[in-house]
Amino acid sequence: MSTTVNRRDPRFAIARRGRNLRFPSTEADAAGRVEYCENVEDAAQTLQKVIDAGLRPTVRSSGHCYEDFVVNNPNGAILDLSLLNRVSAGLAGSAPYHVEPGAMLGDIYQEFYKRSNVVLPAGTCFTVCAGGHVSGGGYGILARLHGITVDWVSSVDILTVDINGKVIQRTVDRNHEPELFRALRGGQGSNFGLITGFTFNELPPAPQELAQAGISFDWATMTPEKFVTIVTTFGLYWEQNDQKQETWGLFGFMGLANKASGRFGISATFTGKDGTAEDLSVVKDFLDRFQRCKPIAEAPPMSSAHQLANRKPMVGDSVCYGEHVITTSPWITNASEGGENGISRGVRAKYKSAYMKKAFTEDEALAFYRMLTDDRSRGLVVAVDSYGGATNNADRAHDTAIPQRSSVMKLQYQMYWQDKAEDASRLKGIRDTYTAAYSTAVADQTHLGTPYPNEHYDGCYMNYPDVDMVEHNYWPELYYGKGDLYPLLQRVKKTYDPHNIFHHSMSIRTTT
Amino acid sequence: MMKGNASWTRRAFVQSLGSLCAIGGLSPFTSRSLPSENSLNLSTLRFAFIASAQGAIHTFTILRDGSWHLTQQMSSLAPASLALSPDQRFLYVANALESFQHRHTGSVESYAIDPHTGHLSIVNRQALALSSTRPRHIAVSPNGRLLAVAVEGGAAYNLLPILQDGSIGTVTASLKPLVGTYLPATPRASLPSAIFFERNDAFLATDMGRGWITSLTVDEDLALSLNGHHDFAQSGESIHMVVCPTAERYFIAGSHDSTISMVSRTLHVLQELKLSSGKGSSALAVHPSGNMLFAATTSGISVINIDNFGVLRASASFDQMPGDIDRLECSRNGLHLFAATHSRSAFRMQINHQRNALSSPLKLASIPFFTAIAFHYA
Repeated sequence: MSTTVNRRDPRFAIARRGRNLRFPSTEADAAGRVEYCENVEDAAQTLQKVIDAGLRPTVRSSGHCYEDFVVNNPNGAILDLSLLNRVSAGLAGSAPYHVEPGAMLGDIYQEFYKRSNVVLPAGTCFTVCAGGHVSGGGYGILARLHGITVDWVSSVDILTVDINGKVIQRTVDRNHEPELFRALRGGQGSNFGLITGFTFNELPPAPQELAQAGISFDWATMTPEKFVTIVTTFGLYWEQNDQKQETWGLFGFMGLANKASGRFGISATFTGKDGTAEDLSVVKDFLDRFQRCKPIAEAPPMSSAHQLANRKPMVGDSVCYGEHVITTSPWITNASEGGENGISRGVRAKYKSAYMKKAFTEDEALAFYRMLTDDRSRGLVVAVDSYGGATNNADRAHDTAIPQRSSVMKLQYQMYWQDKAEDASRLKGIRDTYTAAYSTAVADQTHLGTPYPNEHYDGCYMNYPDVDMVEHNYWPELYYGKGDLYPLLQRVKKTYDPHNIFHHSMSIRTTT
Repeated sequence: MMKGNASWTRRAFVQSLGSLCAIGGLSPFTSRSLPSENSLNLSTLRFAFIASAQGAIHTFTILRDGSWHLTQQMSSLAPASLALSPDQRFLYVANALESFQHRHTGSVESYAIDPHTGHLSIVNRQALALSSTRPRHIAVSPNGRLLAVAVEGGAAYNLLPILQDGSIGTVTASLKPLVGTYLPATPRASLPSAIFFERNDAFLATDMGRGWITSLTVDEDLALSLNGHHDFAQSGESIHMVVCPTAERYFIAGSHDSTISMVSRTLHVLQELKLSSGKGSSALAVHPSGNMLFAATTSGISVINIDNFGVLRASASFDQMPGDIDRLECSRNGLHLFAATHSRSAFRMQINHQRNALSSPLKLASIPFFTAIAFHYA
């Protein structure tokens, strides 16, 4: 049976929260217990026990959920799957490859590397676990080269609760309960049940090397014109090179930090189709485009967007015109960074997201400039990731629950702070910036303030959930598109979770 | 028109006798106390609050001649149930919403009551738990510290604290009973419909989806626990329940069956009485003396006498109501029975306690989309 940590247990103060210290929102919102499950049988028995007691179960793999989906559960039960973390492969490291929901991405990289020399194309944060990351889509620095994580999922093991209140174990794939299978590839497990495993029948070979480079720009000497040039240049590269396969090994990141941070930067990582980083012409071509903006050469950056906020300027920065500081290291070394703390101290945070189909316009760049030079957005980083390439396989929009298959960039707005007293001002800062960014002429004029799908934008990413979006009655279209996906998710929800046991503030709604 | 009617089952009679014996013989559990002018003076009906699904709570001032006068129309989101605090300083309201503040949940409201005018002023609005949409009924604990909510949409029960200033705190617990949810032949979802606090830390709830009465307790963390459930009606049948004010008894009736059940606090059936008129009950009210029970049926109102030994005896039926009744309430002074009909009107009847009779109904108010009524006494 699972290990129960209730309110009387000294571990409860840690167990009841995730990494975002904004949640539980109040003492009353806190769960009544946390159940640590070590295997599938544990999870099934515990889920049944929780259902029989009439409690609301919420499911946690690593606790990285950006919103209140898991830990705001008044006197309910959090089923923690962080101990359900096996990573395995077939005989002699062959396929199929199997991952349990509590496995951290960094461990998955290492275990598959050691056993099978394959890689799961997934995220950059070591401690994020598979359960939420994979079922919500999953992407990282190999996305342009290999697509997003759910593109590789062959089957999903899940516990659902049937109409009689009974826990049912299912394994779903393209031939067995295909609609549920599709829903679990991007539609998040938290809508439908408790995921106990993912299987991959095939995975790409692990890269051998990763080249990294970074440049940054000083806010002290920044002008609106220069800022616009930098931002539009970055976006234009990804728009122009979306279908050029020779560039798909390149992953770019632009971290637009508030002026108070002193600098903002761009980084690039590269591994070629052959898994090496011997031919760096693509990286140099990318970096060359910013030379006219006179960047400062950076130390090799952390590839994790999450770590950017804490980045400090290099001591003894060298101004480097015409040359790029590019370092190359074993890919697995890079993929293994950041695993030092499975149970984080946490931080107060707020996130938002947007998919972009085209480069930034001058108006958009100016909107960012205005907001990032305004004290309201102090602490904000707009992390702009390259996207596209292999992710833009239009066919995968029909067999996964990720409809965004024509985007070239993906933005993650990140605001971090420590003091609860700053909640209102910090939230206002990120909200105002976001609203300004999506209120220019390229935004859908009937959905201003959001990246509503149109020629320029393609909505938001469900793994970067933002409950502010539910203020818009069209919010499902932001995350699931305007096609047949949301109706399918509603149908799956009704079929596999008829009592709406698995719900949260942005879960699939089957009623209006 | 009064008609004599009486029939109750042999099984019920035996059960009744057995139960009464079990609790200490056949001694009367209450003495018949007739309402008097004194009791009228002690508990004068001052205000009536009537909720309309159109989004308003109507305050009526009741004059000494018994006439009702509309004095305030307070906007409310979608009032579906009303409950007064024990000290009558606050009115609590359940809003039958699918969405509140853009979230998939209903809400509750607290209003302060002006003791002189009965006028309401909003104290606060509070969201229910996620997925708890369309609350159907609310109840305040005897100490006035807790608000329990029966939620139809999410098929759940919510618990919220009531703070010192009368405002409603955030949800501390949401409980969704699923055990044995469905009978395979007649699948029915749970539809929590009404709540009755037994103590500050325990309440009973009727579930019209399953024909159950569920027993729940509140722990020191303000969490809810299921104690069990009892079948009382057919699946899909509305259950109506009232508490006998003078004894530890509940009266329960279903919408598809004309049987009235008298049950103990532990939900053991003490007696079942089969009414000869009507196909089922749509509302129940008990007289404050504990000696009369009123059941609204498709044929009108049945008057049931409760004798000194606590035995139910149907005594009369009254068929002059204009329209189907969905709410019944007896005034605290025991002189009047109030009825609200689907045809959006509120009526008052005088109770002739000695003859177990009702006067002709007097129309008091007409409220479109009437949903709930609450009375405020001096």
